[in-house]
Amino acid sequence: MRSFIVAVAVLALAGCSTLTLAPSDFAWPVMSELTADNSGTVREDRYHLSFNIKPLMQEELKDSINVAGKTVSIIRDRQGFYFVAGSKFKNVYVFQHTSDGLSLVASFSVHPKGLTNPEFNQRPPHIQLLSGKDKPLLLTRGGVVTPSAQTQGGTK
Amino acid sequence: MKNLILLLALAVTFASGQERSDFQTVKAFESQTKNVSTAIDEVQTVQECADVSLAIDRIAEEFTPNKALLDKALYGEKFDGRVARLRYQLTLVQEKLGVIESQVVRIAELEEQVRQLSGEIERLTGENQKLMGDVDRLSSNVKSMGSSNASAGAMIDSLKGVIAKLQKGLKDRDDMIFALVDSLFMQYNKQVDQLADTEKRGLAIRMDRNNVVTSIKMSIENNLKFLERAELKGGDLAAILQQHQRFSSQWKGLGPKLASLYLSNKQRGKELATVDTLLAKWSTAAGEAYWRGVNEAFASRQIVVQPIASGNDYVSNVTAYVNERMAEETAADKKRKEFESFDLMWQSEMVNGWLPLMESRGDLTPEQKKLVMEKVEDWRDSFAGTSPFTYALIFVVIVGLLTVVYLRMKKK
Repeated sequence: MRSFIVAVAVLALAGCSTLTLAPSDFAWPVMSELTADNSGTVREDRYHLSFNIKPLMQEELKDSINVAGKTVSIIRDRQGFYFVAGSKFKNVYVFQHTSDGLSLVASFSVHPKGLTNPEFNQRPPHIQLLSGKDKPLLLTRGGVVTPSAQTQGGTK
Repeated sequence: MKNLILLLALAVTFASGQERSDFQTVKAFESQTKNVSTAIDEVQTVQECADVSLAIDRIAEEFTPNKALLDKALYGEKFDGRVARLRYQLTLVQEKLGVIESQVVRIAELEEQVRQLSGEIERLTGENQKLMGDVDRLSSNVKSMGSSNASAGAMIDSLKGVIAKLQKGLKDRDDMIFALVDSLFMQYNKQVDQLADTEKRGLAIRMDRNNVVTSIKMSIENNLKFLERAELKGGDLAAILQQHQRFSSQWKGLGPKLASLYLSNKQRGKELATVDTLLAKWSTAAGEAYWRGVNEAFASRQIVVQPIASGNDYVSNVTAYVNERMAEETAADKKRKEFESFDLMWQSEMVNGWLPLMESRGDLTPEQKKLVMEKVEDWRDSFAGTSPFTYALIFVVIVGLLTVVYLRMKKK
């Protein structure tokens, strides 16, 4: 009897956890440019999204004080990960949303001297990063896609 | 009006080779459609309606390749919907102003023509600049090689080809500028002094937007440069002088209209005066190049004719030269060679080039032309011995005389 109950519970849990609504697409067609208010909060009205960028500025620019008026570029990929960068950023940050806020999934270096007016394009399955006159880069949440990987069909 | 001016100044937004982000595309579309929408609220004349109508067409044309992106990115609206909304907004304003759609269409067509001509003028400006550089380069190559070099001939041929191309390019550009101005005036279908102040302002904006005055100035400057640089022959110069005459008469018609249009604009007034000055300079330069060309034709073959600066000079100096050569006591063989060298130049450069041109310009009367040609023929005849034809003629005359005498004697 005991083993039967355990088996039913396992099956039931397994059934719940495999309920997936697919295919799904969380991609934003275009990136947004968000400017922080005095408290460091940015808002994207169209997607009803807001978050505070002070920790991000502290992490990237070592300055969480002069955040008001600072702008970040953000785009969401098909899997729902948020790609965030800003001017002078050397890294691109990838977040996913959790009940507590946006949680860092990965960050990777994209420019040794810092980006110039970074902009993202939705280029499924990648995110394209443009910065000034630099050559555009293709990104995944795992990092920058190298040219050889691009010719092989992208990273997994 | 301020927004309309902004709208009229709408240029191709992203001309650089840099990759445009989707974000910038959407932002540009949003901002341009917003500008047009604001401009529609301000239109007052049929020309302004046509301007706005064209601006909508251009936006639709420029952003159609991004339709899929815009359909997704525009919030609560699609690309076609936004464009249609603008057209509808314009139609409502036109109805309110009592503007007839066919008028708007006609003006928009003329404006489109202006846009195309303006693009062509820009293209030709670039091409002509390049050709001007080629002429300079080839001219200096030809000079450094000298005429004895075998490959100099090929170089001279290609220089001639480039000069011809440049000449055509300059002429085409001039023609296009005046065609563009015509298209602009035709949109108003009135004399300048009959235009209302708002219409005058609109026309002046259109003129400025298409750099009419600057383009005209540049045309004359380029023609001047061409005259200064190129080694021109009689035929080339004939075309240049003709072009100068055409340009001058077209400017005679256009200048006063522009002066009236820019009556209150001192800066433009000054520029118009500069055009007059440049045109006079062109006229002088063309005249100088003309006589320089005539003198050069003799000098290039080492034919020492006194400098010529008028038709009368031409007749007296060429005649004097021929007389001098004919009177010179030197070996017959040397004399003949001198004549042959002169005759080669005479036939190719004068008879087929400069003489008809001088006659057509009125520098030489038909009698003067005949006189100088006869003089050269005299020189030619001085080398001719008695030909078999002359002997035959004398023989026929003698036989004829003898026959007449014989017949008379027989009758007696």
